[in-house]
Amino acid sequence: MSKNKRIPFGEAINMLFGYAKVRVVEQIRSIAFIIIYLIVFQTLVLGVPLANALSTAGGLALVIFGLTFFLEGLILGLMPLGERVGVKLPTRVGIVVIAVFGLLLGFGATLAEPAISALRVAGSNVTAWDSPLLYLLLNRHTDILVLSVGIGVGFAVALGMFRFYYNWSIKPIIFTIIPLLLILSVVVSFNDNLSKVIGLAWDCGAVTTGAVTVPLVLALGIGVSRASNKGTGSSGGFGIILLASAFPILAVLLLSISLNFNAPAPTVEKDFFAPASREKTLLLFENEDELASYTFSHGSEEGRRAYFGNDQVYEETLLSLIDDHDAKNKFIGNLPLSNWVVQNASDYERNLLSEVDLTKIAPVATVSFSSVLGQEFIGGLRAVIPLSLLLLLVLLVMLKEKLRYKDEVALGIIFTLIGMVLLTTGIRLGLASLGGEVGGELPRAFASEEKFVDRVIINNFDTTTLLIKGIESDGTQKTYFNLIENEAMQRIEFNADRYDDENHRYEHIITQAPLFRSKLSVLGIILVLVFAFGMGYGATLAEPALNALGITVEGLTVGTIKRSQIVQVVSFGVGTGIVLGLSRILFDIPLIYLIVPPYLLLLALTSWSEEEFTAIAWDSGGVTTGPVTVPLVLAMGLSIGSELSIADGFGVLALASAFPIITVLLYGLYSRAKQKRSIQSKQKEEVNG
Amino acid sequence: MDNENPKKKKVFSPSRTVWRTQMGKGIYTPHRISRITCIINHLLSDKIIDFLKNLNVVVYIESGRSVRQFVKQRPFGLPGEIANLQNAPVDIFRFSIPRENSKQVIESINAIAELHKMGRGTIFSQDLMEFSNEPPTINLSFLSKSTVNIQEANLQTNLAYVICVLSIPGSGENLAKIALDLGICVPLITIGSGNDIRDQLGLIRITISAEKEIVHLVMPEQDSSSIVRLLIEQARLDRPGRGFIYQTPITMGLIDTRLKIGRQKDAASVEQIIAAIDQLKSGTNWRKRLDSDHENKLGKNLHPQDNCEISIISDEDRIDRLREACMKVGATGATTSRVLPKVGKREKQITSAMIRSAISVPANLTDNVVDLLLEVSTIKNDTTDRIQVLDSPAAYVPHLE
Repeated sequence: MSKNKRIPFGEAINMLFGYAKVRVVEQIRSIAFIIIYLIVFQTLVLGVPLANALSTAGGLALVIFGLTFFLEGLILGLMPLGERVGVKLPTRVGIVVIAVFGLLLGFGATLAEPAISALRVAGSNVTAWDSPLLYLLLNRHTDILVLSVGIGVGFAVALGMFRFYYNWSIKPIIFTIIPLLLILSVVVSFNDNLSKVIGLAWDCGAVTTGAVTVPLVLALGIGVSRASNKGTGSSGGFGIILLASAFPILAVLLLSISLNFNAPAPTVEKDFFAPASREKTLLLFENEDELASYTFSHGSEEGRRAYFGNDQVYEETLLSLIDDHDAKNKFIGNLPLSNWVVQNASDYERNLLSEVDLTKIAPVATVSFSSVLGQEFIGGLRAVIPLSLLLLLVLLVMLKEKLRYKDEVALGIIFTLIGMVLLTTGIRLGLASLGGEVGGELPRAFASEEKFVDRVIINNFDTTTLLIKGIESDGTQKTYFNLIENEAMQRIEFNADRYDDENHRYEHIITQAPLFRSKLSVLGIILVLVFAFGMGYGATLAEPALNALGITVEGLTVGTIKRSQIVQVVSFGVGTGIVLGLSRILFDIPLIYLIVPPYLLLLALTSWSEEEFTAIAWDSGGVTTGPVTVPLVLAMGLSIGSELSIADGFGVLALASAFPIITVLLYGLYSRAKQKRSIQSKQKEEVNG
Repeated sequence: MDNENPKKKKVFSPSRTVWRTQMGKGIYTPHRISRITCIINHLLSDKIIDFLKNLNVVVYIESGRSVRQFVKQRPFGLPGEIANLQNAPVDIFRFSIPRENSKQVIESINAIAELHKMGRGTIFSQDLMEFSNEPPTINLSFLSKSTVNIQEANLQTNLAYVICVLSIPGSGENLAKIALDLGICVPLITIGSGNDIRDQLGLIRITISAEKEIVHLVMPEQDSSSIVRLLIEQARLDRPGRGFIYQTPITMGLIDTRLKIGRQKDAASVEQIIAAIDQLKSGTNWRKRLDSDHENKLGKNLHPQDNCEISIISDEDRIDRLREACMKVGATGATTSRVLPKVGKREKQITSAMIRSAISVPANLTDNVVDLLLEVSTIKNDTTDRIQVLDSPAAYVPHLE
C-alpha cells in the first residue's frame, strides 16, 4: 500500500495520546474494583494499616500499564497472526498436518507458560507422609506432570482442529469427556492416596490455559472454521479452551493411577521416617540425603527421632550441627543454623542447641525490584516468543504466505511481551502483596485463639531495670516491659517462662488477637466468604485472557453479546466458585462432593443450551484462572488452609472454573428467551387475538 | 429524489454505462440479475439455509444484530414505562438469482419463515448488474414445488435501502435509536472494516480503528430523502471522519415493522395499524411524514449525487488487490465485512475466507473502477468471486468532494 500521507509530529503525538488514554482508562476501570475492595477490606473491616503503601501503589501502576500493553498487543499482533495461520492452513494442507500443528502448539504453549509453579504453591503445605502420591507428583516427578499436561493440551488443540474442520458438534464431545472425568474421579476417590490427587488434577485443567495461549488458540480456531466454511453460526472458533481444560485432567488422573502402583501409602509421620519403612519412603526422594534434609526442613521432632531410630544418635547428630560443617550441609543445607532453630526446632531441640547464637538470624532476603523484573522478563520471553515464532515460521516458511501489516504484528508481539512482563512484575510487587496481606489477616475472622505471628529473641534482657508492674482492680498484679520497635514504644506483658536467666535472653512471641471470639463463628465465616466472593469477582474483571475472549465474542456476535456482559457474568461465576472452594477448605469437605454436582448440573444445562452458546460458555470457564486471579486466590486459600491445618489449597481453582460455565450457560438461556420474544410473543398475541 | 418513482425520470444510469462499455469490449459479460437480501432472526436461519441449499444457489451469510425498543413498566410499581434497546442476533443472506424468479423466491421464503408476521425479518430484492463466472441459476423444479402464500405476502414496491457507514465506535447504536424513535424500521447493525485512511499512514495507523459500524435501514422511498437528511444531521456525518451514507433502490420487499416489543397497552400497536393500512392501500405511498418545510431546512447539508454501489465478493487475499485498484482511480471508502459462503448442492466446496466489500462510487468514476476491478479480478477462472454494480440515487460521502 502506498504511504503517501505524512502526519505532523504534533498531531501524531495527539493521536497517540488519545489512543493511549482510552486504553489506559479502560484498564483502570477493570482493575479499580479489586484494588478499592482490598484496601477497604483491609483498613476498615480488618483494621490493619497498609504496609508498603508506596511499593504497592507502584506495583498497581505496573499492573495497569501491563494490562494495557498486553491486551493491545494481543489485538494488534498475536490474534491477527493466529487467525491468519488458521485461515491459511486448511487451504494449503490437509487436516492431518493441521492436527499435528495443533498438537505442537498446545504442547509448546503449556511448556512456555508453566502454571506448575502455581500448583506447587498450592501444594506447599503438603507433607510426604500425608499424601505421598501428591508429593511425588509435585516434587519428584514435576517434569512428567508438566509433560503429561502438555500432551493433554496438545491432543485437545488437535481434536479442536478436527472439530472445526469437519464441523463436529461440541455437545457430544462434552457428553463424552465430562462424564468420563467424573466417573474416573469418583472411582479414584475410593483410594486413599489417589483421592488426594483429584484436586491437583482438576486444578491442572483450570490453570493450564494461560493468558497468551487462550487468545492465540481462539484466533486460530476462528481462522480454521472461517476457512473451512462449514459452520452455520457465529461462534465458530470456540470450544478448544474447554478441551484444553478437560484433557489435562484426564492426563493427570491417568498419570497418578500409573504412579500409584509404586507409591507408598499414606501413613503417620513417625512410621514414615522410621528405618523400617525406609525402602518405601526412599521411593519419594532422589537419594538418602534428600530424605535427610526433608526430615529437618519439613519434619517435626517426632519425625527426626524416628528417622535416626535411636535417641542418642539423634541428639549427637543435632549437636554436631554446631561445628560439623558437613553434617550441617547434609541436614539443613545453606540455611544458617540459627534460622533453623528459630523456625523449625521444637522447644526440646532449642534447649539442646542453646549454644547457638540466635542474635545472628539472617533476615529473610527481600526481593529487589530489578531481580523481580529480570525473572518476570525471562518468564514473559518464554511465554510470548516461542509461540509467536512457531506461528510466524508456519505462516512464512511452511505456507509461504505474507503478512499484511508486518510492522503492526511485530509491534503487537513486542507490546504483548512488555505487557506480560509489567503485568506479572506488578502483580508480584503490588496486587499479590496487597492480596496476601488481606488474605493473611483473614483467618483472624474465624480464629478463636491468638495467632502466632513471629518469634523474636531479645538479648541483654535485664529484668531488674526493664520490668514495670501493674495492678488490676481485683488486685491481680501483672508485669510488663516496654519494647521499642520502629521508634515506637509498645507495652508488652512479661512471661517469666520465656525468660532465659543464664543468657539474659527473652523470647518474645508476637501474636495477633482474633477478630471474633469463637472458633468458626457464623459471622466470621460469612465475612470470609463475602471477602472471597468479592475478590474472585474483582480479580476476574481484570483478567486479560477473559477480556480477549470478551472482545472476540462481541466481534463474532456483532455486539449482540457485549464484552462487558460476558465479563460480568463470568466474574460472578468465579466469585461463586471461589466461595464454594473456600467452603471446602473451611469445612474440610471432600472435593469430589463439590465437583460432581456442579458438573452434573452443567451437563443438564448444556443439553438445553444451543450449540453456539455452549462452546462460548465452556470456554469462558477455562480462561478465568489467569495471572491476576491465581496468585490472589492461592494466597487466600493457603493462609486459611494453614490456619485450619488443612494440607492443600487445591480445588479452589477447579471450582472457580466450573461455576462461570454455569452462569454463562444460564445467561445464554436467559438471553435466548429474550431474543425469542420478538418472534414468539407476536404469535401468542395472534392466538389470543 | 422527491419524485414518486425516480426510475422513470432518471436519464443517466451509471450501471447502464458500465453495461454498455463492457458489452462493447466483449471480454466480460454482465448478467442482469436480482440480488435477494434476507435479514432474519438467527433462530430461524436453519430453515432458510435448508431452503437455499435445495434451491442450489451460492449464498453469502453475514452476521448482524437487529435493534428494537423493549417497552416495560417501571420497576417497583412506579407509573409509566421505560423503553430500552434490545439486540437480537440476525443473519443476512445475500444471493443472486435470475430476475424473473425473484418474486417467487421471495414468496417461498416468506412462506417458510412467515416473514409477514411482524418481528421475524425483512426480505427484499434489488435488480442489478453482476459480473461472475457464470449467470446465476436456480433449481426450478424445487422452486415450483415449494409452497407460496401469496395472500399473506403483500410485497411492497417503492422501498429504499439506506446504508450508513459510521466510523466512531458506538455510533451505530445511536443512529439505530434515532431510526427507532422516528419509527422508520427495525435497524440492522453489522460490523465491517475500512482501511483506506489507515493504509496511507505508517505505524501511527494503530491509533485509528479500522472498525466501522454499518446501519442498514429499509424505508419507503418517498420518505428516504428527508430521513437521510435527518440522519446526516443527527449522526453529524457532515463532520470529517464520521462516516457516510448512501441509498440504493429496492425492487420489491417485505419489511419488518415490529419496532417495539414487550408491554403493549392497546389492542394493536401503531406498527400493526400502519401495516394494516399498507395492506389496504397496497403500498406505502400514503405515509409521507416529513413536510417540505422541514426538508428545506435540512436541505443545505445534503449533496445528492448520482452514485453507484459496487460490491465485491472475493477471497480475503484478493480483496486487497481489488481495493488498491479502486484507490488508484480515487474511489476510497470501501467497507469490508466477513461473509460465510454456502454453496448449494454443487460438488465443489469453497475453502477460503470470503469477504464482501462495498463501495459507493461517484457516477463519473464508475466505469473506470469497474474496468480496473475486472482487470485484476479472477472472475474468468472458476471462482465464486462476484462484482455487483447497482445505481445509488443518493449518497452523502463527504470525503469524495
